[in-house]
Amino acid sequence: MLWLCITLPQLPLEALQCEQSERPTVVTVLEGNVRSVVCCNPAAERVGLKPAMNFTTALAILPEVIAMERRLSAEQAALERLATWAYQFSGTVIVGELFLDLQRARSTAVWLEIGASLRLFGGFRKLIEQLEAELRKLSYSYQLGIAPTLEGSALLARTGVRVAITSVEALRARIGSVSVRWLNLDPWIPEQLQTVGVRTVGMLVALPRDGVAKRFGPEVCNYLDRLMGSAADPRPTYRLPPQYHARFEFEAEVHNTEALLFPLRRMLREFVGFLRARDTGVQKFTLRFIHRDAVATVLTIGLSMPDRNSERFLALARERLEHTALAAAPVALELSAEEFAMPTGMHIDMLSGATEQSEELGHTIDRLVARLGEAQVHGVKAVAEHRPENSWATADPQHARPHLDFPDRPLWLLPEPKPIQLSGMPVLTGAERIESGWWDGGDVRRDYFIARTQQGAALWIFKDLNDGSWHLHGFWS
Amino acid sequence: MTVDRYAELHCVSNFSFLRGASHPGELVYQAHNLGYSALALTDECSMAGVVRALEAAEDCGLQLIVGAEFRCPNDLHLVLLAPSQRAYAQICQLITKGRIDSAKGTYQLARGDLEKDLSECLALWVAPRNARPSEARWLREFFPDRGWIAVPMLRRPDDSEHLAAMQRLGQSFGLPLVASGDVHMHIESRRALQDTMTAIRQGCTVRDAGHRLFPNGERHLRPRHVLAELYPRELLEETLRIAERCKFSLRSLQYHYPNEIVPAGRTATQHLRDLTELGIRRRWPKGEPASVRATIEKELALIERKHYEHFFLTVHEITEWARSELADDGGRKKPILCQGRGSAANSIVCYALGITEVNPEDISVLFERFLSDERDEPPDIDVDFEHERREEVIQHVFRKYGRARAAIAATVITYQPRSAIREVGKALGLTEDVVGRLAKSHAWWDNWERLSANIQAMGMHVDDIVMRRLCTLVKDLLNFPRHLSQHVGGFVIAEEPISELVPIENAAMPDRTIIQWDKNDLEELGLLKVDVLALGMLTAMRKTFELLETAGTGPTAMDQIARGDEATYDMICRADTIGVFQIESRAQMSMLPRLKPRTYYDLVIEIAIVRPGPIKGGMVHPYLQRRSMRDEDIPYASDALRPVLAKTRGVPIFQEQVMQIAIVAASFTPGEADQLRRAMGAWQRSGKMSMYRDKLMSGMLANGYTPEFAEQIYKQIEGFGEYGFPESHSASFALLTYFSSWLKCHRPAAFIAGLINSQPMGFYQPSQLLEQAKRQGVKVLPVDVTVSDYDCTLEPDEHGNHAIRLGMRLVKGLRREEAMSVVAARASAPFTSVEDVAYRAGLKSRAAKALAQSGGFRSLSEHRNHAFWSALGIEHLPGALAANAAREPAPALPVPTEWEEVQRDYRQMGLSTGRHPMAVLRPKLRASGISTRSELDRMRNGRTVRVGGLVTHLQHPQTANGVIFASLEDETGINNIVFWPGVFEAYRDRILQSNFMVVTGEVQSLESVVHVVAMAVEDYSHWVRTLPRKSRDFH
Repeated sequence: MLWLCITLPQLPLEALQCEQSERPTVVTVLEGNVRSVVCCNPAAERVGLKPAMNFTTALAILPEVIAMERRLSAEQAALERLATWAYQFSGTVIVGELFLDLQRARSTAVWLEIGASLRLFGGFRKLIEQLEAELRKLSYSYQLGIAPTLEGSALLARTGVRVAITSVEALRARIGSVSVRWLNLDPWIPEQLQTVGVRTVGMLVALPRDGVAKRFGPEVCNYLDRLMGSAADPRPTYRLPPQYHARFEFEAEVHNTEALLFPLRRMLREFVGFLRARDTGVQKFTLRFIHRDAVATVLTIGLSMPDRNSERFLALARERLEHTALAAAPVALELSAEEFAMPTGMHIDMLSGATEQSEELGHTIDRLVARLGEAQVHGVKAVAEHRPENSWATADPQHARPHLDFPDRPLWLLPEPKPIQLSGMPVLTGAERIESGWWDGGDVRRDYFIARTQQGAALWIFKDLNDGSWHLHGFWS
Repeated sequence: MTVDRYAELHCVSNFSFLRGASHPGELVYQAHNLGYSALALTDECSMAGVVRALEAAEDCGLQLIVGAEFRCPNDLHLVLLAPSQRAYAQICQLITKGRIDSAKGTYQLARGDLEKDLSECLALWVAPRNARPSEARWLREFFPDRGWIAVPMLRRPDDSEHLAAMQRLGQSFGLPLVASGDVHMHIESRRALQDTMTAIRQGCTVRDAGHRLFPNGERHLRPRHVLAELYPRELLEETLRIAERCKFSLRSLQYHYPNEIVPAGRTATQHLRDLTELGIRRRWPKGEPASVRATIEKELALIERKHYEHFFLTVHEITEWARSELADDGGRKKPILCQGRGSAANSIVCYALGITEVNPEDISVLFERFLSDERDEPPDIDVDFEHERREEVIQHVFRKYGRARAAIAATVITYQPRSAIREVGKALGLTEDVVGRLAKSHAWWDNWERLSANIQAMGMHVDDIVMRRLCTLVKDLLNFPRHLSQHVGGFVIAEEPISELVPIENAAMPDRTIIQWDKNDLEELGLLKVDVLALGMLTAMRKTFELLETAGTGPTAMDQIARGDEATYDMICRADTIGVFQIESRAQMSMLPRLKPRTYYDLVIEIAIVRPGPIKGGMVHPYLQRRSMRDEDIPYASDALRPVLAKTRGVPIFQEQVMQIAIVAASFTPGEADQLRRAMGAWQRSGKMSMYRDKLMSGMLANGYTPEFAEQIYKQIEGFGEYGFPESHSASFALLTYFSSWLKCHRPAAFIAGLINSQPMGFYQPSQLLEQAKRQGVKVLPVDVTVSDYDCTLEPDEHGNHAIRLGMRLVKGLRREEAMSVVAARASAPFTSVEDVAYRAGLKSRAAKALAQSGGFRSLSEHRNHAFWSALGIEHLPGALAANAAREPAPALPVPTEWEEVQRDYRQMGLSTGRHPMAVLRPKLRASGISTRSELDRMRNGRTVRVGGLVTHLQHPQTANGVIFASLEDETGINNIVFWPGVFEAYRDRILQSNFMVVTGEVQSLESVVHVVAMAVEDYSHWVRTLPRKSRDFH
């Protein structure tokens, strides 16, 4: 076995942001009460910000720094996309774990077994060249390590040793002088080792095994064995999914179509990596733009014939995007493809079923929903709010309604209060003053009354206390 | 429509925490402006705001009614009003009852509590919408002819139905109805703040608060013509009838001091004289001078006229108890050092009683500050005790007078920018994280208006409008009371139960009760308060004396220290005062070589002059100039002022002098001068100063002083504001300054050890104190489990001088009990190994690691790496196996270098007994052209120099116009660095982050005070990467 390890030191940042920003940007994480910097972009490093720095200090240095919160789900998604992509180079791909601790947050890894692929790609150098060329297009920062053990290759990648090591003996010799702080151990262990003067892997290995196990736990010895190749290191391999589904979560809403193209380009390249690995193509794939408060915008991109060229995919998607109005600024982007090369058709007509008379409300609602679509049918519920227009909301039609104590309210409220002119002196009863809602900019100050028309209808009207104007707001039954 | 008269009888202020949205004063003034006949302040189960309301009411001439609101189970909502002192006492006791058995800040009352002992209170029942007749019956039964149904008309749709229902209910039970407004704010525009406070109280956002918010802003003080439209006339008139009955004023509170301190058969006056005469014979064994006798008679006569004997006797009892060796349970205790200060403390009576060591002959205290006939203000005595043992004194007071008769004054904790931003931000729905960052960003010296800018700068996407809302609300909420906390040590002691005088509630500390009034409230009402305060220096001095007693060299008490010692003053003039009481700060130290104090009174001045007051008032330079003048050359604005200012060479420095100037130059009466003093303290809040300004200016002009002089005096008074320092306090402090200086000068080892053993206290950390000791030639011996105690101890060095043996208290991560068990285990047999220590002292691996890292096993292990390896391997085996933990061979581990040893010392203890880190690095520093602190002394002014050191302090004094000061410690001393704002901005990140800073700058030395004015800053922290930054920044 020969493992190629790709570590992604900037993954916390790059999983959230594909393009290189010129504005100093950091990813931070809250541990207990302390917020620390996990990752900095080059602009941030240029002004002196560093990983593991206390965020308060970072702010003191650069008050205008842009800070993002570390998001594990985005990292996990990126890692899986990358693993799928990696299949084009190897039949055995292993996805490393995400580390929560600050010290190892920057050593997330993906492994490829390349011993079996060498011949396929025409030798070692060609494989690496091709892999790096593709990898760079995805715009991830990465480090590579090659060694006969998983942990060995990871250690080399982390320390930046770009020398392929193919035998266990050479590995042992090479890492003897590496500092223990690079080891994939709970951060307290390297720290304490350094405290007793054990600074290098060589010194650690020379210590009595029992003594080490007693102090740091048997798993440390086990780790060293796996590192050095004296114990097996079985791990589940990443399985290529039968269908393709990838997700990219943005750090904040993306308002600019142009800015969407960065993540889109990366995703399409990863997608093409997957297609290569499966040795297939697509004739149709789907982009879903996820919005915070609106239904996702779906773009299905069809091709006249099966294809797997990311640039062509991008051109098509871009064109569609330019002619599509997104419902809102998206917070995430999903790419999926279910059919490869050979499209099959399937069509269900939602409205073909005959409507039958149904006794049960539930069934009626179900039918209404089925016929009109979920977005068209809703129930109402009361909301604890003093402003009448805010005191109700749509709700799942099946849901129980909470009981709230309200003064008498008309059942029929106008969608918007309507300005009216009061003629004559109507009989006004049920005076009620409502002043509320300043917190969302919709502050109201109103005196409500019940007014009776000559026809006997009861109107709910109010006087706006800010300008003295009168409005009709609802009807009493 | 005629506008009816009206008295608001149901009104809560912001002392109903997170309910009322206006200060008591705001409510009172607004009620007055609206032409109300009276206002009742009825905070929920609280009297905490009434004194403030009283001050405002007297100021504008509004009748204030005292009362409180209560909510009991089953929706019983009652307002009680006090028509008489008896009724007031009943309400206070009810509040106490409700609060004393409940958690801090809460109260609980059962209906039964309202059924007794409220025989004189008037009750307004705020009936709910579905009021039951049984409640009305209950009200009639327990408040016959004293019960009303309060009807608030707050523009709800069913108001008229409710009114009609109440009228029916009132008729059938013979209960009158009265109008009330359920007032929560003085003006309608506080509605947003009131909503916000509701959300904060409910722990939710305003958006989610829903029906927990009031539906409208009607709960404010409404104009009378509006009320006339809403309420039937008879309900409004009823308010006046009730107000008419409530003539009780807090001013008439009667209060008596405890009587038991006077022996049977003697009067308090006689007893005080007995004790005073006894003291005089002790102080002046050869007979007192005639002037002393005259003053004593004057003082005693005045005390008798003002009936303050009990106060002096009480303070005397407390100090006597502290100094005695007899504990309350009859056992022995160690005496506690204490000293009194304050105007009354510096009287001959107090000197004779031993409350203070300051001989009033040495200073001239303004007699009016002691006590005056004209003022109704209680005498002022603060007594400082050892800070670690003050709790014993407090418990003694509680034991002696009983919990019912002694209680601690409250401190009103108010909203500060940080807390206000945090809570308002949360209520507005900002995330915890954003709110935290906002509040923190503000910790820098930005003023709060920059909040908005800060947020943008932090790159956060918070809506502009939300920000504006946040800022507006925060501004309103600032200085609102948030909760009551205990005063640092102000006791009220009374003959009768205190709860009849003011309600008592629980403090956060167990076994502590506080009253609902703060210091100003007590002062306003003329109640006597004894201040039992904590002073770290007294602890340090006692510990120093104990070390000297063990060492057998003495002195062992303050009175054994010779006064006027030349060597001590020489040291002070050199500003060699790290660790010394009061004159150890950087500002003080830079003044010493210029002021050159040579006498006790010079110290009194030194302490008072380096304060924001005199500095802002521009007093320092004139004083320094005049110190070098001959007496006859000193100009005085008038002959009349000469006696006032002669002792400070024509420059007013003390608070007392400012008052005296007002009397002499502006024709104030002594009583007015004292009001001026109090206005000075509160002028920013009350704005009363402008009144005094006119009086002061016109008075001085009338007496022939120039407008410039008058303006200058006013400026000084303004500058004095909160910070003015009275001579009477300075005089007491100066004594401690002298004694601590003497100890530092002549017993440096014991003094520094005593200081370290009293940590945390003072301005300097142990490392800096030890560096100081080393510079004085004291040998410092490292922590060693085979000899060290918990505290630092003295050992003889090879020359027979005292050396400091560091105590295990300095080892971070080692608990006191763990250190004690090491000491105890050592007593039975010497230790043989690290494992032996751990096993016999029962140390956990964590504790053993801390000791190993600090070098504490140096006698038991080859080197620190081995010790740490052993400590890592400590395991706790059960029972019989415990003694037989596996012995294992020590592996080969590298020997730590000197630099590594120093680093570990710093990490584990914040200090090192080895060479200073800068000394270790010196060859490299030398090569970079970096000078030591001691070399600066020999350099001429203006020379460019490079200095470097560990950053120990960064300061940004408010008086320094944006100048930042840094202290860089090297092996020879402390480099004082000055950063002008431009330089600071240019090197902001380095200055804030660096722990080893190198500064290129210009030497500026003035009268042997050496500064380096920075021009460029380099961060050399990578040289000392593993040393922790230990600077104390910007407090």
